[in-house]
Amino acid sequence: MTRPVSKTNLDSDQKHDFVMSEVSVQKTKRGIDEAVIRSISDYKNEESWMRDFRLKSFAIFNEKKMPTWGPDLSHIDFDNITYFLRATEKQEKSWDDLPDEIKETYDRIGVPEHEKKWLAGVSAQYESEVVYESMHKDLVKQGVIFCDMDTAMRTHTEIIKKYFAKLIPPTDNKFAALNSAVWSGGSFIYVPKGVHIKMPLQAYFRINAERFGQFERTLIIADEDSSIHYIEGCTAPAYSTESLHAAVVEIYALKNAKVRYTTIQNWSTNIYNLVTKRAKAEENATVEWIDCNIGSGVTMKYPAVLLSGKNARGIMISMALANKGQILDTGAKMIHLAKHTSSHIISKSISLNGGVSHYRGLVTISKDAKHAKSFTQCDAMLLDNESQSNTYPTMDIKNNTAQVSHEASIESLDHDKLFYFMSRGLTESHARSMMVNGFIDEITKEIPLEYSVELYRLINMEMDKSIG
Amino acid sequence: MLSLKNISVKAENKEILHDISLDFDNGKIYAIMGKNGSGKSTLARTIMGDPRMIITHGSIMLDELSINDHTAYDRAKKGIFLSPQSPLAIHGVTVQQLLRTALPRDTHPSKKLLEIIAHTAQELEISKDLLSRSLNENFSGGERKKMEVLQAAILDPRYIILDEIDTGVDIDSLKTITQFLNTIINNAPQKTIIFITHYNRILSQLPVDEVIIMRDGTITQKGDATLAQKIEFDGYK
Repeated sequence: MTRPVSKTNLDSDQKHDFVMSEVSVQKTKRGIDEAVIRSISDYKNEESWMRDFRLKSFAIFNEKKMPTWGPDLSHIDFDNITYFLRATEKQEKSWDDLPDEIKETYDRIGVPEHEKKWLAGVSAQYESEVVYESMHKDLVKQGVIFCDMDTAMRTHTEIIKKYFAKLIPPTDNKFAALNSAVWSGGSFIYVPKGVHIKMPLQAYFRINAERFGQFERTLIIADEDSSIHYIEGCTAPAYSTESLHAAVVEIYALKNAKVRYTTIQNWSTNIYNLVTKRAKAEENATVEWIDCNIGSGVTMKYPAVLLSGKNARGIMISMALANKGQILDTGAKMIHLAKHTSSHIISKSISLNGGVSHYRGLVTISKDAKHAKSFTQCDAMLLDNESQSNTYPTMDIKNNTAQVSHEASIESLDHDKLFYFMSRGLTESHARSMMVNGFIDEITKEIPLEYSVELYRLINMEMDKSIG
Repeated sequence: MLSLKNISVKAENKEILHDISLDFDNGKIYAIMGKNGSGKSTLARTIMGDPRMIITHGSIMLDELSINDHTAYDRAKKGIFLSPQSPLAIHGVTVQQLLRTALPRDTHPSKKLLEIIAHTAQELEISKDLLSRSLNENFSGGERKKMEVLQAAILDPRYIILDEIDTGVDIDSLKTITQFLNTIINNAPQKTIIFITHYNRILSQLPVDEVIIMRDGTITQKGDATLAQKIEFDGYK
């Protein structure tokens, strides 16, 4: 396939790095305590079970220790973060009804334009809540539900109670506990039996405020024989102070369903991106995580698939580009619990200018997962000597009918290729971009063209930074 | 004019080329011949600006100005092109993407560029599907070399250096390449082409003006096209 190479935005260097004046109609004080959690719950007029869930989660958060492995998180100042900020009075269905600052933000990022061209629905979260949401009418007719989690709490309480926090309980880890205590926003999607949503649904997450925490919570349920492709994008302006993004994402792919979840993560480098993502694939279901990480200062993210029904498939295709000062600690978990389940992990990382990337993978084959198959391919590219890449694969295999393989490779900057590209008239930074883009070809092929063009542009920008 | 003025070149801490002087006039066709290890490819890479070829003495002059300090990119933009001896396989990059990035949009809008690429590929009998596949990945020797010629044609340089364009190429492909190059020579008589080769086979089909013989990093002989024939019969002395 021919991929047009976008150059249009190359001169406007940091497309996503702009700050709008803060707009807020409601906001909690800095820091976190029970009172802050009660205020969030009050602002949302929640039922008592949810308020209790939050308070219980907060107690777990307080008890849980910070992770003892992985990147240093000691600089996160929990007392100096704003945990809830409501930017608008109500959610809108038309971009024009949003406050000017917010509308302009999404215009500059290009969300409304994408919506018109190729998306089945869009949700836009600004700070703590979803400010805009819209979906094609025919999907509404087919019974598809696509709304923000806060609304879903009120309108689809029964289904929420059945699935919410069941895959990722607050006890899972400290940041899942924090999210459970202060969560706000995120997407809720239900795809009814037999419904195939052809165009993607997209959620766009924007942090504009400084020293802020975004804690959205996403729950996707694909009922039997259905399919959906969900895309999330995220950006923020760069501040010198740290912000925190700690999301929780739970996905259920019921029998024969297919869910693809694509992430284009381009947070500014002052953001700690500590995300817990887990999916359950039932009989003959497929869950695909397509995960692109360009931004953030520190990312810790290891999306998982519990392959709980026979013939279930889990796929993880990810890339991480760690530039100066960034630590991208990513990976995948494939938990095989039933027979003939299969998983496939492709992880590509690029480190440059002292950037650090880690791959942590876990493949578990249970006793019952007879004839399970798992294949991991883990490739790293180091563009200079100061940069780092580490791979930590773990395999836990409990039956001898499984086929499990792991391939890893590491390559440094190929001077022959660099010379070849430059001798064709590519600048050094374009030559590097070209190499990196070739290296991640398996990923760019999997994401919608509009985003692969965007990814190419982002990588070009990162390479330009490195040449200076 | 492209000139080498008394250049000596080191690679991996070893001097490979010793005090070489050569002039490449506009519009002329050159052949550089010599045994393996005589320094032909080093010479080509030095002209193109491979940073691993270190000029310890002398200069490369392009239109009377030294380009010693120019990167390969600068030299490409000034109209020098090198088809390497063994074109690399490049995963995930197509020839279309490569040329799209190499050429400016204002002179080569994408649609037009794709048409030119398709047209040139047709003339070179390059199968269409190779244009949108990873460049040279699982390509035959002939396909790789044709892809180089295709790029040379589209990038439209003033000086084309072809390092063993005839090696690893089947007879039919070689015929196609030779025909295509003759068309370029006829249509753009101001272009300079430098062939590096072991064989007279391709040279006999081209209007070669000057044959240069290298040995142990020096120039040992120069002559007209008949020199290449002589070499083929008698070998290098």
